[in-house]
Amino acid sequence: MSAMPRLVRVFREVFDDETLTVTAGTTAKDVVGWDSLTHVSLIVAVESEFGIRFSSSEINGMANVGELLRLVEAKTA
Amino acid sequence: MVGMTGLGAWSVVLAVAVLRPRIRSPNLIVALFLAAAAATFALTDWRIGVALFGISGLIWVAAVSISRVPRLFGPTVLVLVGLFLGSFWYPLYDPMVESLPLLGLPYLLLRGYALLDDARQGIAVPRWPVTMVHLVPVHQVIAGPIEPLALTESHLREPGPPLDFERFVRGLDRVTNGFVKKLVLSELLFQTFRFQFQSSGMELVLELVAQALWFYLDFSGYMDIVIGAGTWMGWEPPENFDWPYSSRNIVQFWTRWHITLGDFIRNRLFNPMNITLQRGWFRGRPLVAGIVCYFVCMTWCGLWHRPNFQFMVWGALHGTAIAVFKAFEMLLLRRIGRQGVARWNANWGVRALSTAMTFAFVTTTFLFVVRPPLEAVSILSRVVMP
Repeated sequence: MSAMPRLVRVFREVFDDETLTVTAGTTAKDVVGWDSLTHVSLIVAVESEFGIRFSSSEINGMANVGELLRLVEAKTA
Repeated sequence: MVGMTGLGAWSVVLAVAVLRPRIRSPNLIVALFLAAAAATFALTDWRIGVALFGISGLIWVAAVSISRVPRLFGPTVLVLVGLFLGSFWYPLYDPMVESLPLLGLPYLLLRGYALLDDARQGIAVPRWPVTMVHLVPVHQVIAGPIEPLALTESHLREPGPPLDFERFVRGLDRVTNGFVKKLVLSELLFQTFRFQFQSSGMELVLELVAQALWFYLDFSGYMDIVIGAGTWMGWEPPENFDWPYSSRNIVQFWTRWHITLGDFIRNRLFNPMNITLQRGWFRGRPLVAGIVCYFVCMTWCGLWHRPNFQFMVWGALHGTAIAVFKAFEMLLLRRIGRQGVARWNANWGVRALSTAMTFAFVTTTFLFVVRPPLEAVSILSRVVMP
C-alpha cells in the first residue's frame, strides 16, 4: 500500500492546512511557506510518522514529493 | 612583473583550452589540469602551490581514511579549522603565509570539508588525481565557486567540444565583462568615493550605496573572469550571482549573492544542525531551532570570510536579520493564512518596500566589514544626525 495518504497527512499537519493538496510532482516552490526551515520540520515529522531516519545527502537531494515518497517506501519496505 | 605573470597565467588557460579537446583519456584530462595548476603556481608563487597541493594531499588521505572509518570525520574537521585559523594567526606570518588566506585556502578548506562530509556518508569515492584537481582547480582556486567532487568529475569526464568561434566569443564576453567590472567600474567608484566615510546625510548614504556596488562589481567581476576562462577550458563553473540587490528579503539575498556559499551553508551546516536540534533539544519548536541555526551559521559565515571581530559582527547581523524575517514570515502566515501570504507577496508596494529595506540592510551592514562596530554605528548615526 502506498505511503502517500500518510505523507499527505504529515504535510497538512506541518503546514497547518487541512486543504493542502500534494502530488508526487509537488516541489517546495508550489507550497507557500515550504522553505529550508519548514523542510527540516517536515523531514523530522515524516521520520517520526514512519519510524525512519534520513541521511544529510537524502535530505539535501529531495527534489519533489515523489522523491520523498520513494525514499519513505524504500526505508519502510 | 605583474603583467608578465598575468600573461603567463592566461597562456596556461589558453593552452588548456586548445589541448583539452584533443585528449580522449579522462586520466590525461585530469593530468592536464594538474599540470596547468602547477604551471600557474610556478609563474606566480611556487610556495603557495606547494602549500595548497600539500594541504590537498592531506585532505585526500583524510577523505580516504574517513570513507573507511567515518568516526574520524570530527577530529579531521577540527584539524581543518586549526589550519584555517593558523593561516591567519601563524606566529611568523611571513608573506607566503599571509597570502594563503587570500589565495584560495578558505575555498580549498570548504571544498575539503564537503569532500570529507561526502566520504563520511559514503557518497564520494576520493580518487587521488581527481581529488587534487577538485581541491586546487586552476581557474577557480582563489575565490570559488564551491562545487562538490561529483560535479568536478562530470567536468573532467569528457574531452569537451573544440574551442570554436562561438565558445571563444562567449568566454571572451564574460572575461571582458569581468575586467570592465573589476578594473574600470569598481576602480572608478573607488577613485570617486575613496570610502573614508567622513561625510554625513545623503552624501554618506550615497557613499554607502557606492561601497555596496563596489563589493558587487569587484566580486562578480572576478566570477565573470572565472566563468569566461572555464568556458574556454570546457569546465564552466556555476553562476555565483543573480541580481542580488534586487532581492526582496534577506533570505532571497543569500540565494542570489555568492550562491554556492549559500548552498554550502544550507546543505552542509544549516540542515544538519537544524535536523539534529529538531530531533533532540528543540523537538516541536522548529522556529527556535531555526533561529539558533541561522545565527550560528551566519556568524560562522562571517568568520569564514576573515576570523576577526568585524566579520563576526557582520555575520551575526545577517543571522539575526534572517531569524527576524523568518519569525515575521511565520507570524504573517498565522495571521493572514496561505492565500493571504500569496497576495501579500504579489503586492507591488510590499515588493518595492521590502526590496528597498533589504538593500538598505545589506548596504548598511557592509560598513561593519570595513569598520569596527562602534565606529560603524557612529558613522551610521551621521545619516540622520549630520
